[in-house]
Amino acid sequence: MRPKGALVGSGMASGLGGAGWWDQFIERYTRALGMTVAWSFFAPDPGTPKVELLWEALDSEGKALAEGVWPEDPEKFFFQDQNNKRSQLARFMSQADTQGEGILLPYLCRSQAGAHSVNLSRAMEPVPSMVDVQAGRRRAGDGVVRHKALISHSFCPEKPTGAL
Amino acid sequence: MLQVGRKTLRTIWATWEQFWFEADAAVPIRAFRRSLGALLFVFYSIRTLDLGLFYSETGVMPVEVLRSVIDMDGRFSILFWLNSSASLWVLHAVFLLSLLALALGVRTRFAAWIAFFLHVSFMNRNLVISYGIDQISTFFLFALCFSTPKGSSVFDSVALRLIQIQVCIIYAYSGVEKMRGPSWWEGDAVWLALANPQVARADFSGLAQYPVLIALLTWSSVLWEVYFPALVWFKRLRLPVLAFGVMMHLGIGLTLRIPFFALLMIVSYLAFLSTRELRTANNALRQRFFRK
Repeated sequence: MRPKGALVGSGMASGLGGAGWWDQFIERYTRALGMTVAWSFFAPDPGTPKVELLWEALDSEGKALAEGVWPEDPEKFFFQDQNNKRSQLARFMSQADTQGEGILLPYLCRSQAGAHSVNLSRAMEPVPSMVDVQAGRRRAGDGVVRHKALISHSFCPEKPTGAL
Repeated sequence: MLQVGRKTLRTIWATWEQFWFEADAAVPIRAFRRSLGALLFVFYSIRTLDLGLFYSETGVMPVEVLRSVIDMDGRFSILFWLNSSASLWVLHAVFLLSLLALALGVRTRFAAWIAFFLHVSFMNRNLVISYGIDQISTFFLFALCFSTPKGSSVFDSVALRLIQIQVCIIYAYSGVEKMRGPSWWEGDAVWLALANPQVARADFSGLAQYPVLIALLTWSSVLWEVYFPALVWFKRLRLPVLAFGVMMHLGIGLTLRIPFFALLMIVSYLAFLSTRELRTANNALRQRFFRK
């Protein structure tokens, strides 16, 4: 995987031919030092919608034990970084259903005592258009339009599994 | 003809040497190091609250899970080996101490190496949750590894130039990337950020009544980003360009939920100020806040 944006020269090297070792060196160097970064802040569009993962832990009889949402907001102002990191993880998990399942499922199975299976859903709230807000039809963050989809119903690992 | 060519080459070489090795770096690099250390100390102190959740084996991202969702080949973290809860807390404390040392100007070179090594370790331990401020800090801490306590060596000159060029790369890349997005051309990109409750600090619905203002903010910020890397090197334009950046980042910090990222970019401008400008600012601040 080529580092994106951090260094420009490596792509040119392979274009000139015979410089594969240079590509490999740059790639290893940037990966080891955490410098494989694309500086695309709010780009190409800042329109990433609000995304949440809704979860429901079930016991062995299929009854709901607990439910929650990721990311929850632990703090509103100063410790905002807590929320940002949770939101960042939520965006990553929503990129592919398997990512949400691969990360959140084992965590919930460990943290929710008695959990036998977990339902995971993804909820997205598109940003309302300026025209809709001007006309009074919507407000920012009103949650009126919310696309919800079940992404996984999985049994907890190391627990007896049966037919759904 | 040959003589003219040689003279031109000599001038280019002298300019190159002067740029990299003879910059007036002492005061700017010390001001930048102290401010960056203080800012990151506060920022990463907040991480203490979520240390177990994000970085421990009992948290949301055990190493095995991390490796299953992201390609970690070639990425190093000391936390892959020292993964007990005690090690995690000790390493976090050492990291915070190294940032504090940078802020206080104590053993700065050693502190910068420790800070850089542990910063990369924490970032790679849970790469998924790293964002703007984490990523930019990597480059700044790396540059500071080469700076000396007094800031008066050739290495300090190089470190200062690396920081300046890094800031230019960030803006240039980010600006050009934005130009690929339709919302930046149509003038409603700022609205898309302010109307997203996961990003905005408050309900800014009222701003929808001022689409011209939104468009002006959108276009001016993308234009400024694209041209920053060129304009900031002109003596007469440097301060206005930086002043615009301070205003823009203060606006971002106040309206969006990324105050530390905004402050980090403002701190990076210290690397663009001259010794005289920094001394003037320092004296003004002292008179304002510490006058008898």
